[in-house]
Amino acid sequence: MTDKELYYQYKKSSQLLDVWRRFRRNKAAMAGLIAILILALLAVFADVIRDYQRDAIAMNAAIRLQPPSAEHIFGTDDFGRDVFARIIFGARVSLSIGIICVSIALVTGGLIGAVSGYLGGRGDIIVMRVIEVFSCIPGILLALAIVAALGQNMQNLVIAMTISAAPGFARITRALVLPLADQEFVEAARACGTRPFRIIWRHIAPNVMGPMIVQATMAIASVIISAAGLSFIGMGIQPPNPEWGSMLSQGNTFIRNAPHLVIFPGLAIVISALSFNLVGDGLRDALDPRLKD
Amino acid sequence: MSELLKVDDLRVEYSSGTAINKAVNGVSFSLMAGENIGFVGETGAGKTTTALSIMGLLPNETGKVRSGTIIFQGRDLLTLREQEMRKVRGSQIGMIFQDPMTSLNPVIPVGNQVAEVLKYHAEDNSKEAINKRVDELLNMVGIPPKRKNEFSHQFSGGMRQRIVIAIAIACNPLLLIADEPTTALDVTIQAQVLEMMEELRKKINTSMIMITHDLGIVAQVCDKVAIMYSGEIVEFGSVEDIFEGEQHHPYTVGLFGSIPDLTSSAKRLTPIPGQMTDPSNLPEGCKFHLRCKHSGEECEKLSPASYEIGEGHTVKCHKFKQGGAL
Amino acid sequence: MKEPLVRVSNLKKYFKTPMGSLHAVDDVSVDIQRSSTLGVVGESGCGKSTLGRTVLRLVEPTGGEVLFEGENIFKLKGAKLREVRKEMQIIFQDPYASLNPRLTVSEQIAEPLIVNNVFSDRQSMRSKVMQLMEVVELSPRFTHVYPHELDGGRRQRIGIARALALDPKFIVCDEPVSALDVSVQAQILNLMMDLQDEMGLAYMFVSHDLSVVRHISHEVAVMYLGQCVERASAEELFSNPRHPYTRALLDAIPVPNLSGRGKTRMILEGEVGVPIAPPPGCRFAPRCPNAKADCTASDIAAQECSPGHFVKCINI
Repeated sequence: MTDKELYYQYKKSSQLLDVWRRFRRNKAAMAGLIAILILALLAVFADVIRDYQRDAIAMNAAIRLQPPSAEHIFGTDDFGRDVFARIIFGARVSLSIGIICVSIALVTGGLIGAVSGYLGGRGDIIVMRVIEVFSCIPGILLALAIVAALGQNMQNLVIAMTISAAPGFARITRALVLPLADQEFVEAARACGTRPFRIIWRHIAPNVMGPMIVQATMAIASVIISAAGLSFIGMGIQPPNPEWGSMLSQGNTFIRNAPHLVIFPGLAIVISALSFNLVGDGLRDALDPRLKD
Repeated sequence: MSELLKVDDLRVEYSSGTAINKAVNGVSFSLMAGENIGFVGETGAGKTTTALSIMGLLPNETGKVRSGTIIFQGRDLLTLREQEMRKVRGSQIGMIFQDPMTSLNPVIPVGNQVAEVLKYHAEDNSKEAINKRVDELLNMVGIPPKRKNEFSHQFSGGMRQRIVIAIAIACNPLLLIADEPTTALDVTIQAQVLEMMEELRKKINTSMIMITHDLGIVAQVCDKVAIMYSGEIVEFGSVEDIFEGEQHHPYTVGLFGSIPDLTSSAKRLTPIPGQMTDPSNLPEGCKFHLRCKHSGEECEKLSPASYEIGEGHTVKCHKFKQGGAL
Repeated sequence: MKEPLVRVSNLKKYFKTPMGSLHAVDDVSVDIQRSSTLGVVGESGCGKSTLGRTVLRLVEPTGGEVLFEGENIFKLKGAKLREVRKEMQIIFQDPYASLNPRLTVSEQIAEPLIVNNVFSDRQSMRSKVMQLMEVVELSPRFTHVYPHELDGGRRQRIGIARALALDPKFIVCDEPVSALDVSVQAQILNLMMDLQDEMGLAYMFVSHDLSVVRHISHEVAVMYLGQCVERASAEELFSNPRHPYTRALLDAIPVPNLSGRGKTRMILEGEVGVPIAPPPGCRFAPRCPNAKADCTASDIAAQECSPGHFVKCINI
């Protein structure tokens, strides 16, 4: 047998497949994943299901505050707009804010934390002090201040949420990197002349990826809640654009006569946040390679 | 000499998820009063599991005794209820664990930890009597009693192990089980602790089960030796049988061939080929046959019985049937 | 005598601690000859691991020099340093921590080859990996498995294959068999000795186990609290130990035969200390049965009591 045949004789077992096998066993996490998938599908195909202008934006005083019916399954609001349509278009906003903010925060925060933790020294001290300053300000207050300064629109909301989430990621990454940097396999890599960037990329990053993904999944949940919170107090997405938080605040007035106006957006927020948390929990167990079966 | 402990056909399994690990597979031995048995074997040989079964300390959820009896002073420990077992532990059987870092509570002064055992088990548990006994015990293990109000992190590894030993012998137990008591210690400290243990054992006249992977320690302190492999005692005999006898189980031969000898400079070791057996997937027949150069057809099919090849010297190997030899 | 492959002279490594300066390695000088083994023994905290790491410049020294083939490695930079790094490798104690849990066996072994651009094409690199696996007697069916699926012995073989990947001349072995069971330990020791014979490797074998050190070493250095207290050929050191610490150490080891039974042994009093801001003189003096006032008066130089046998003790 040649070396080439030898090399390919035994197939590499897919790590992703292993992760999926372990994840599937966690029922709560699977339920969360299914809920997220349904929500995502609704958001992606919202245009097919309902018409944005006609159902979610245009007012129709004739059908104000109708309870759920076959035609409007979640009922209509005080301007006669279909609540279901507003929820699925709102899902677009909430999910994309969650995913975009967390992705940017994960990459920038993670990179800063990893480099600063691995290299250490004075740079590390400065970075950590800056992050500590950020951590002293509650995330929602920080976001509020940024939105107030920059103006109220979707783009600024994303910037605000990202800035308030990134320091957390930097801190977590650094805490994960510190013990890894002392591990013998990192020392072995240094002994054969590996450059610091490759050590971070090849040896440290894959080992912090698991916990980071878990953290990110949970962070999506909290970003969704914060974004809804900001919109609720009028500092986020502005009406008439559909957003769960602002729907909640509008429906507030009619809570006695038309409770469906708060129930459905509220449920949407709770279910999406809970689902991301459940998935994060499931991933935590599934991603650890040392937990075999 | 009277028989203190008799273990017969002990079988223990651990279940983890779908796999069942057969950790102990039919261990039988007896221990006379005042005797010191060494259990030798590598990781996964079932030494610690045997000890935990005697103590009744197998992990509740996963560990299960499948069969066997453990007769201690005429009672089968396996049939005792947890309440009764608690009385046996600590007062009649003491245990010393491997890691002195984790076997002491870091937030309780060490003196109080010694006193704790006495409070539960001692006949006279008045404050003065206990205090006096604590000082006495600490003196016995070579710790100045004035340090009894310090915490475990203020002591070195060797000192901590001494405190653990003080706790184990607090109630003058009839049996002391020591699970790798000196493995975590440096050699010069190990020598101190071993010497102290020997002196103590003679002083309070207790029997001992010494679990170790170090044949040197066995040669130094034990009277009898049990060589374990894959949850079985493959050879049992006096130290003279094991260290000076001519005939041995092939695994014993392999074990001795694997250790570099400080007193000779033979330049090549003769290790046992292959790896330890997987306890969740034990081979049929003799559990050692896959690594044994004497293995024959019979060994692949039939688990061997123990054959007596000298007085009190038994070997679990087909080759010794009817007075045979290797 | 020939020029040694590695010459360590007056090497010092101090760590700053809140209690003062910790003299982990204090003025150690040893030589390692080509295709031979220097055993370094001592108890925990004697600085033997730090010595190994400083010799490879994984830790920057406080003072002294390490000459590899006549060149001071602490003066090298950039590409020159990487060149020398290829010649000097390390094998670790813990076969769990020393392998990246996210890389397969072949990826672990290939890593040094990739980093140093040894091969331009993938195919010849894979051949090299397969060869290395054969050298350390790892079956090809483990090519794509992850380390956590393997036992300690096989993991340690991966570590050895990785160290061999760049064809080094010198390997620091930091307690390579301490975490293994005896039967597996013997397999690995035999493998390491075979590799030395075939490839002419030089080892610095750091261990607390004197039996293992005697077995594999040509020369032995005994360390106590950062200092090398005695150094001689293995034969000489074990048959004629001169330093009281070496004697106590040898006496403390339980030998696997009945000759030592019931014999009164030399038991050292006291505990191994910590060399933080150590006072001058012999560091072993507080535990030494023959200590005199002179022992702690001033620092003690190593003296050659017979050719090639160095002892740091004034009572010889």
